[in-house]
Amino acid sequence: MPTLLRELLHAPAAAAAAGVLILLALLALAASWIAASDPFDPANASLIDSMTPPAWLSEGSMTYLLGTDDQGRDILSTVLYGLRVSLAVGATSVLVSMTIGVSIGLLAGSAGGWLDSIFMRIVDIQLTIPSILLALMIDGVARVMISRELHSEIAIYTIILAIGVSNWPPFARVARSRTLVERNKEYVQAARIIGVVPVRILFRHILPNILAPILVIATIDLGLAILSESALSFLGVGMPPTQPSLGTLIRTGGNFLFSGSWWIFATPALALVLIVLSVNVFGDWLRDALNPKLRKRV
Amino acid sequence: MTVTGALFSNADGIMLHVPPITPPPPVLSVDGLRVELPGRAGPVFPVRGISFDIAAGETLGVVGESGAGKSMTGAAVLGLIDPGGKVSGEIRLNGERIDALPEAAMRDIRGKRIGAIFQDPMTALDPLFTIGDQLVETILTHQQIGLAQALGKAEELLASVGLPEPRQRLSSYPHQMSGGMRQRVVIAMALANDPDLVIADEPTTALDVSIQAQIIALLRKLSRERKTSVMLVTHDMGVIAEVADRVAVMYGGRIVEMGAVADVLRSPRHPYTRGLIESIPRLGQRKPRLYQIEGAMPSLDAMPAGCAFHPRCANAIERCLEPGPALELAGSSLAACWRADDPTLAQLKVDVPPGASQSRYIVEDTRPLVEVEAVSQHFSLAGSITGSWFQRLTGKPHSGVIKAVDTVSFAIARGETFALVGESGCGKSTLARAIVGLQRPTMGRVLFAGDDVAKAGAQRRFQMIFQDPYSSLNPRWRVADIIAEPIRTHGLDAGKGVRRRVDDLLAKVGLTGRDGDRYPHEFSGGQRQRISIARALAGEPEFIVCDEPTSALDVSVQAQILNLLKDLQFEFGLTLLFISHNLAVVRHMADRLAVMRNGRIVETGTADSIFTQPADPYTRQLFDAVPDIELALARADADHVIEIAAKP
Repeated sequence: MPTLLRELLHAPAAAAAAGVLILLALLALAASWIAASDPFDPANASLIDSMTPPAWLSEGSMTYLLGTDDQGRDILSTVLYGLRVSLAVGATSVLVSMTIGVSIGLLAGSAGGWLDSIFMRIVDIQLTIPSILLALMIDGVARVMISRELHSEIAIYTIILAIGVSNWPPFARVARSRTLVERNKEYVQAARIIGVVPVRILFRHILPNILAPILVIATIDLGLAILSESALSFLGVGMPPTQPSLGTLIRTGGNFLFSGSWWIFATPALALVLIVLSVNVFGDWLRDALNPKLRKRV
Repeated sequence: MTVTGALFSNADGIMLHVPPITPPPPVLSVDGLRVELPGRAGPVFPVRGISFDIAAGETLGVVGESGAGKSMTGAAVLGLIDPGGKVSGEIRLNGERIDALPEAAMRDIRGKRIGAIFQDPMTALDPLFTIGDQLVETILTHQQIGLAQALGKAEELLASVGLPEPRQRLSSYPHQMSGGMRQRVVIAMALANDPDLVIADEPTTALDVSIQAQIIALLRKLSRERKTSVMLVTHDMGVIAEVADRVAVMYGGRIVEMGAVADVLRSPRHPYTRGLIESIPRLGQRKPRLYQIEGAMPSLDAMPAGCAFHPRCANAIERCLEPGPALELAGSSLAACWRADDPTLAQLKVDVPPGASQSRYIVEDTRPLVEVEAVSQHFSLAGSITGSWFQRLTGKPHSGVIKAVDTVSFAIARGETFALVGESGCGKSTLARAIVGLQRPTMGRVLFAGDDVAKAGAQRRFQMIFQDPYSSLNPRWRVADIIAEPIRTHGLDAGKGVRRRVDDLLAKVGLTGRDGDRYPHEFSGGQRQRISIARALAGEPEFIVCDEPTSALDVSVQAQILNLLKDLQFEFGLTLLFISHNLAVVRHMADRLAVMRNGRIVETGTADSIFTQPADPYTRQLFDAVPDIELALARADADHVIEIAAKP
C-alpha cells in the first residue's frame, strides 16, 4: 500500500482528484460546524435576506458567501448539507451493490454448474434494463407500499436500496470471473489438500485476492451512484426538499435560473460536477495502478 | 597464433589445419556493451560492460541463470531495448557499427542480416495469417523478387527446416501445427533472407524433450551447412554442449568465463562456472548429493561491488571487493576471477551429511503406503450444454473422450521416492491430482495406508509441493500465516505454539523466523519454494507429492531445493512422489520410477535398472533426447576424430 501512495503522488491529476475528494468529504462531514445554522430548520429562515447574490457581486453580503435562495437560506450551508446527503447515499448504495454483487459472483464462480448459469442469466436480464429505470421502479413500489409521512422519513433508505440493487451486476460479473481464475491457482489447491473447509477457502483465500478489481469498479460506481441519486432527486422521486441532496438543490434552483438568480442552481451543480469528475479521474488512475500488466517492472 | 586468434578456433579444429594469415573479421563484434534501464530507485544495469566476437559460421552459446543479462545482450544486438533504456559500447556487424543506427536502418538489418528466434513458438507467429503469407512477407520485405519466386523460396525454406510436405504447409495456419513444427517455421523465418547472424533466445526451452532434441539437431545442421553465425542464448548447459562451438558464461551482467565449449565445460576456471556445472544432475551417474552454490543471483538494484559473485563464492578474498576483475586468459579459456589460476580452487567440496549417502530411508514396515489401483481419468469433450445439444441435433454419438490417465496401477513403498516421468500432456499431473484427492478418478481408486484417499481424515497425512513458486503461495498472506495454515486447520497446536512451530519449520528449510513476517512477493523463486516445502511439512505428513518442484527454478537454486528435499526426507522419514519431465533430476532423486506416455505407464522399475537398461523403446528415445553435457562432449570428440581423419 505505501508503494501505491507513492505512485499516487507521481500522478498529478489523480493526486489532485484525491485531494478534492478528501476535502469535499471533510467539508460534508463537518457541515454542521461550518454552516452557521441548519438551513433546513424553518426557525432559521430569514426571508429578508432571500435571493442575496454571492459575496463578490455588488449586492452581495459577506454573511452569505455564496448567496441565498428564495427562502433566505445560505447557499454554502445548503450545498454542504446536500453534499453530505449525496455522498452518504452514493457510498452506501455502492456498499449495497458491492455486497450483493461480490457475494453472488463468489458463489457463482466457485460453485459453477446450474447455480452459476442461473445467476449469470439474472445478470444478463438485469443488464437489459436501464439502471435508472429500475431505480425509479423500486422507488415507485416503495411509495405505493409506504404511507406519505413515513415516506419522507425513510426516503434515504429507499433510494439507497433502489440504486444499490440496480447496480450490482458489474460487481457480480467481475467477482465471478476473478474467482474462476483464482480458484484454479495452486495456492487454492494447496489449501484444499491441507483440508481447509470450502467456505474458509472462499473468504480467506479467494476474496482478498479478487478485491483489487472490485475496488476499481467500486470507485467508478461511486460516481455513477451519486449521479443516479441526483438524477432521481432531480426528477422529484429522490430526496425530499426537507432533506435535500445536490440533485434536489439543482431541481429547486432550476426554477430560478431564468429569473437571474443563477447561483441557486449553479453552486450545487458545480459541486456535483466537481465530485463526480474527481471520483472518475481517481478511479481511472486506480484501475491502471492496480493492473500489474500496466506496471513497469524491472 | 595470437591470443585473439585463439578465440576464433573452435572445437572443430579447422584452424589447426588451415591457419589463416590474418584472422577473418568477426561477423559480430561487441565491445564494452552496457545496457542501462530506468528502475524504481534510479537506473539499473542489466549488462555491465561485456565484449565478445562471433566468427563466421561459429555458434557462440551465451549461458547464465535468470537475471544474468543474457537475453538483454541479445536484445541490445538486435536494437530491441525498450525506449527509456540506454545502450553504450560498440556493436559491429561485419566490421560496420550498428549500435547507433536510426530505427529505420535497424529494421532493415533485423530480418535481413540478423535473424531472430525466440523462446515461445506459440506467440512468435501471427495466428491470423498462414505460414506461407508470413514467410513470403518476411522475404519480400527485404528482397526485390516476384511473388512466385518468394513462394518457391518459402517452400524451400520449410523443406530445409525439415517440415514434411512443405508445399501444403504454406497454406496452414499456426494453430494447425504443433509446438515443434511452429518452432521450425520460426527458424525458417529467421533464415528467410540468408542472414549473417541468427540470435536464438532460449529456442528449445518451451519444448518437450524429444522435440527439443530435434530442434537442437536442426540448429546444429543449419549452422554447419549454411555457415551462419549463431548467438545461442540459453540457461541449459546441455544445449550449449550439444550446439555451441564456444561459450560465454554470464553472471550479474558480465561475462565471467569464455572459451571453447569442451574447455569450459571440462575444466572450468571461474568458481561460478565450476559450481554451476557441478550442481547439474547428470543422467550418467547418481551422486549422493549435488554441489550447491549458496544464495541466489543478485537483483539488479542490489549488485554487489567488485566481482558480483563474491557474496556466494566460497573462495572469495578481500581483493574480490575491488572493481574488476577483467576477463583474462586462464588455462585454455578466459576467466574473470582473481584466483582463476589458483590450483587450490580445483576441488569443490560437497558436504554429505551423515546418512544421506544411503540411497533411501529404511523403514521396517514393508506394506505399501500408497496404492494406485487401475486409475483412469477421462475428460469429455462434450461437457458443455451447447455441445450436447449439438450432438443430439446431429445425432452424432459421444465421440470426444480424452483418456488423460488410462488404467494406471502402481504402489509406493514407505520411505522411498517414486518418480513419474513423461513429456507434457502424458497425464502425470492429472494422475497426481487424483492421488491427492483434488479430483475423483473416473475409474479405479487410490489407497493411502489401506484407506480410500477420498475419505476425510486421511488428508493431513499427505501434502503437495507445486511447480510454480509464484502462484502456490497466497500473495495476500504473511509467510507465517501460510505455513501455519495446516497447523491451525488440524489443531496441531494453538496460541504461541503455532508461531514456535512455524519458526522451527522456517529454520528447517533454511529461512529465518523473521522471514515469517514478510509477504511472498518479497522472496525469490527458490525461497518461495522453500516456503512451500515448509507449509507441506507443517501438517506433519507421511507422504509428499512434488509436482515439478524445480522446473521453474535456476540450476543453482534447483540443486539447493533437491538437496533440501533429500535432507528432509531423511530427517522425517518421508515418502515422496516426484513428478518431473527432467530425466536427470529424476535420476538424482528417484529410487523407483514409472515412465508415462499418453496416459499409460510404458515402463516401471527401479531407477538403477531403468536408467542402465531401459526396456521400452519410448524410454530409450527419451534418454537419447536429453541434452547431456558428458554425452555431447563425448560425441563432439568422436566427430573431431572423424573430421581429422577425413582431412587429406
